[in-house]
This record gives sequence, C-alpha cells and structure tokens, in this order.
Amino acid sequence: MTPRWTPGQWALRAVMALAPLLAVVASVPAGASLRGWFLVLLVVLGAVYALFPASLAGIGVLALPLAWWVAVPDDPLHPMSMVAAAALLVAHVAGLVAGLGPDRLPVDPALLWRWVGRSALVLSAAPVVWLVADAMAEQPEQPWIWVAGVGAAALGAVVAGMRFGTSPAGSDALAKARLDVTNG
Amino acid sequence: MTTPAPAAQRWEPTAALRRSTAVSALAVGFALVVGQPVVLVLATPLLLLTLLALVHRPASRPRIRSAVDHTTLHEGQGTVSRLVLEDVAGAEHVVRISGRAPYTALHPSGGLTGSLLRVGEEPASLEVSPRRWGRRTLSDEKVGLTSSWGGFRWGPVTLRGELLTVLPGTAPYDSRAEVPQPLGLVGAHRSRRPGEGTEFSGIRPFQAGDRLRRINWRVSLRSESLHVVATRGEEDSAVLVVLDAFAEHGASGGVDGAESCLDVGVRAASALAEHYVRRGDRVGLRVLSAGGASLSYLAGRRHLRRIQGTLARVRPGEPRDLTADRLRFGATTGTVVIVLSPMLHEVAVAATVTLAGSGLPVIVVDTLPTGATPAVARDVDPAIADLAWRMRLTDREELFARLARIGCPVVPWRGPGTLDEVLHRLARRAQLPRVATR
Repeated sequence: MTPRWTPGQWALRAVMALAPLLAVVASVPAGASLRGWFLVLLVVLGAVYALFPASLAGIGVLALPLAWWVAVPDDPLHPMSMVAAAALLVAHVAGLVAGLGPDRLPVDPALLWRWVGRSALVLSAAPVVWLVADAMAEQPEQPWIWVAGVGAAALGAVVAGMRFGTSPAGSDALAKARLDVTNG
Repeated sequence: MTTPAPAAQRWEPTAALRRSTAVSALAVGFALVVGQPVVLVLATPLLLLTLLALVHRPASRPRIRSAVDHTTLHEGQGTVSRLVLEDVAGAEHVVRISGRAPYTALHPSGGLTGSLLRVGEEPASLEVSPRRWGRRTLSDEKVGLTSSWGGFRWGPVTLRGELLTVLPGTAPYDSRAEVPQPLGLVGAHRSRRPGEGTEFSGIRPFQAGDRLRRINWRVSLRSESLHVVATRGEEDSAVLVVLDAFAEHGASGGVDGAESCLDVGVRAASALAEHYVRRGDRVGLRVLSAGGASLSYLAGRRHLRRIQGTLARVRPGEPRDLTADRLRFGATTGTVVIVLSPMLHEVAVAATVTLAGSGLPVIVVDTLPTGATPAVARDVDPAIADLAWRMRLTDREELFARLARIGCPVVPWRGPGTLDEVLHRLARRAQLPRVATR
C-alpha cells in the first residue's frame, strides 16, 4: 500500500530515511569502513521513522550514528563529523515538520524556510564545538569540560534564539493582540 | 462551532521534542562516559533545538472556534469557514482537518490545511460550497496548534460542524405567458374584466366617470356622440405551487450532477416562485411530504425568501394515513395551480384530479428525470425490480394521458418556457364560454 503523501511529504520522508545513512557514510573519510548489517539496520529504522515520524524509531535512527562515530572511525574528530551533525539535524527537523499534521498535509514553503533558518542557526554551533574540540585534542583528558562548553554554547544559543529565532506570531505581541481572523 | 472546555486541554510535548530530548540526553551521557568530544559535535545542534523548544513552552490557553461567513446561501455558492483563535501566544502553526459532509465541497479538497500563524493573516481558512439544497451540517473538524520551535502541541480539539441552510439554486426560468384567469388587484396579467389597463378591449359610448383622455375623437365625430376606448384591467394572479415530496426517485449528484425528482421539483418550485413573485403575483406553496409545509398566498421578496427557506427544509417522506380528501389547498377562483410531481404517489394524483375538478387551471410538471431508477432493496431481484419499474412508468404514461383528457396538461420541466404553451392554451380555454354546472 503506497502512502498518500504529497510531493513535499515524500521529500521529507526521503530525507528522514536517508539523512542518518549519510551521517554514517560521512565517516568513511575519517577512516571508517562501512558494515552491511549496520547499514541495513539503519535503513530499516530510517524507513520506520519515515513512515511513523512519532515512533521511537526516530530515537534509534539518530542515536546509532552517534555510537558509530564514537566506535568506528579512526579519526572521530574529522571535519566530516560536521557533515554528520548536519545530516542528523536535518533528519530530525524533517521528522518534526512531517509530524506537524496528518500525512496528507502539504508542506508549507514558509514553514519549511523558517525551519531551514532555524536549522542553520543551531547548526552553527557544531563548527564551534568542533574547533574547540580540535584545539583541545592535545590537552589532558577532561570530560567535564565538554559538557561545560556545550552548556555555555547552549545558553548563548538559547539567548540568541529567543532574541532572533521566534516568529512574530510566537512572540508576546500575539498574546496581546487577539487574532480574530473574521476581520472584526 | 465550539471549542471544548479549556481545562480539558493543555500543551503537550511533541514527538519531535521527546526524540531530541532523548537523543541529547543520550549524547551528553555518552560524552561523559566515553570522553569523546565528537559526540558533542554531532549532538550539539539537537541539544540546542531541544533547549529552545523547552524555553518556548507556551503558557497560553488557546480558545478556538470556527465561523462561516454565511449560514444561508444558495446551492453552488461558496463561503469561507474561518478559524477564530484567541489567546494563542506562543503558538506558531495551526493544522485543521475537516471531515467530508455529504454534498459539500471543500477547498483545499481534502479539508486539510495548515499554516503559520502570522498577525494580519487568516490561518487555515477553508472554502466551503454546499452542492445541494437542504439543511447541511458541516462535518466536525479537528484543529491542532504547535508551539514555536515545534516543542509543544495543543489539541487537536474537535469543533462541531456548523449548520448551513442551503436554498435551492435559482434555476433559469422565464415565461412570457400570462396566467389564464387573473383575479386580483393590480398586476401584470390581462384580465377579462374591463379596467384601467393598456390592452385594447373595444370602443364604447362615453359613461359618467370615464376619463377624458380615453375619448376616441375620430369615432365620436363620426358617430356624433362621445365614445371612449375601453381597455382590459391588469391584475395580479394567485399561483399555487404544489410540490410532491412523498419520495425521492433517482440519485442526486448535487448542483453539478444528476438530479433526483426532488431536486427537479424543489429547483423548479424555487424558479417558479421567483418568477411569479417578481411579476407581482401572489404565490402560495404546499409541500406534500411527511412533515408537510404550507405557505399562504403572498407577494414580495420576503415571501420569496420564506418559500425558498421552506423548500430548503423539504425532506422526502410519506405521512401516515394521508388521503387526498384530507388535503386542503385553499385555492380560490383565479388561482393557477402548478403541481410538481413525478405522479408516482396516489395521493398526489388524487389531489391533482381534485384540484382540476374544482375548475382551477392545473398544470402538472413532471419532475421524474430521464433514466431515474428507484432504490432497490438488496433482497429483491434486480430483474424483477426493473420490470416492475417499467410497468410503473407505463402506468404513468397512461395516467398523463388521462390527466390531459380532463384538461390538466402534463409537461416535463425544461426551464425557461416550460409552461408557456400550456398557459397559452389554458388562457384561450378560459376565454371560451362555459356551461355552468350546478
């Protein structure tokens, strides 16, 4: 049975299924050798995630590439890790947009562009973390420093997001203005 | 449409927030355990997204309702069903799903729409167009809101469908024929009685009270006595529209599709009423059905609206213990009776014969569409049902012939000019001298 998706939904579902795969394939330049069973597992989970964006498969399909990048590549801090970060983010955001309504809901271009902007905003933190990690690679092992760093970056990003990332409709301006679409 | 009690609803985390929270928590824990900074490189965007979604958790209690611009409209016309959202601070996106109600077209066609909430823009409006007359209840719909950064969802809440009164379409109808026996006050029909009209009746000697401008000087000079031009009066007429709604034969496809006999009857009744009301005649309506309905003879736009509203409430059905002799039509002399019926119910036939027998001009408009077939029960052999239907149609043809013999013409509804020929014939017959029977 073929799902009755709109073309926009098909595109989102394809991204949801394939982006995690891309996150794993991006580890090849970092010295990883791909394993068939892992890719098959990822494809199956990705397909389930694409069919059911609200399912737990979404957690698995995003967590598996994380584990892969820790365990397999010779150089985990390879610049391609940022491509993997982008792929995971895109997979998540595609699932978020696809899950905003029923399967047959056409994808609103304005909504899509809003999420493209937001994704770019949060993705900009990945190179920062990567640069810091790369610079401190030679330092003694201090795991807490990464969490602290991420915490500081998160705080900055949240402040930035609150300042610039919200829509006019999401701001308090809308709370004051009664949105009465019947034109009075 | 109403929104349920606000207490029953609250902002719930979305699946996306649960997912990003879980993955972020796993990543932070993993980074702490294995001390691999790459986990943070990969998970930092998701972590930020999670935090931003959590920070933007709305505290509002939205109230949602929908309203249509017009609750009364003609079939085929369209209106807009709009969402009225109050206290939606923090909400960013709205999704609206409407079910499919019979004979109602929606745009977007699936009744599914979603949009960003932006000040000054109408979110998720639906265009609604009822495709058939009647009282149409729009289907229930569900509306859901999503917060900024996709973290929380309100609803979906169920909104009850609104009731639309769909008046029958104004089928094109026009007639140049006059009614046979106008007997009223001031109107547009030539009366048999002399009066202050424009239609020439003859020349007669001057009488006290005649207007001077009516004097025909040429005849007066020749005859050496004053003569005046006599004219016929112009009077309005009473028109009784009788609609047979005992049963519905044939399938209705709405205003653009196939017509059932009730569709034909209701639309024809509306068209006839509009035509005669516009000409200044008094129009009465009698609906023969389980509920029945009766409107007395009145004129004017308000009365026309009342007639259309009554037609919109017509539901087919057969009353219990109804006989033709219990029907009262209140038709007085000079009333033209137009019976809209497929003539398949004996009470409708008997009522028509009774009206024709009372000396009124009665016209039957056959409302049975070509190719109409009855609804057949499952356990009935279709071949037998088809045979019975054909026999019934043959009986009907014979009945039409009998009606024509008693001076009650039967015509199929063809829109403009349907009644012209028969009205002309009835008018000519009305001019003929008749033998009064006592």
